[in-house]
Amino acid sequence: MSIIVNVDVMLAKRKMSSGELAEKIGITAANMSILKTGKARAIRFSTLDAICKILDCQPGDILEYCDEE
Amino acid sequence: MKMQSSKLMKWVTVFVIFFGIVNMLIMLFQAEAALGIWSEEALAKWDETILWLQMSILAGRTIFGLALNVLAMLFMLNSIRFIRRSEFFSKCNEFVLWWSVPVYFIFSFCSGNMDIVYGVRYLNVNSDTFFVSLLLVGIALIYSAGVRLSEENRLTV
Repeated sequence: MSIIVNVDVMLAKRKMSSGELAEKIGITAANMSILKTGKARAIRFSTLDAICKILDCQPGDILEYCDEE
Repeated sequence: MKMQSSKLMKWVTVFVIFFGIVNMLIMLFQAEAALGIWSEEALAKWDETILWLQMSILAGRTIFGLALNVLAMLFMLNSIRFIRRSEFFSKCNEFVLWWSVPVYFIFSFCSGNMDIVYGVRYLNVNSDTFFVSLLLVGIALIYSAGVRLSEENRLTV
């Protein structure tokens, strides 16, 4: 998967733990882990919307495209 | 899953298990009757020239018939177990469905030729054996696709 999710950087900036973020978004800790470790195959717009709202950032701040070739 | 569908599924499972067990007992009694283990007279008419074929068909029908019933019961029990976890397609059931294809094929072939055990001297190849086996392959393929989609869905945040 070429899309990298950089939630950790924003979490550090906002001084928030991933568990806290998961609770505020309404996803399980397991799903949060799937997102952070790059195992996620898809992300719902509603989840992305919630992350951006809580972390006060743009989607581009947490999503990065990296050409694997 | 809706309460009614869940209840219906449980009842279907109960019936599958009940009739599966009855079916298995009938198959065992039929095998015993053919062999004459406890009965006074064996119903089978053994022919020295095709004894190997007669024994294979009797054994095949009994063993694969039992296996098919076990697979059906396993499929329903697994379905209920996984639906409780909101998983509709499981790898266990994918495995069960794929195994049901050769098991059904052999059972159906042997079932259709049970007359050989009772003295008939010709092999019968029934088109239903192939048709239903192919249908099972199709169902297993669709179920496998469902398992892949389910895995993708699980990894959707």
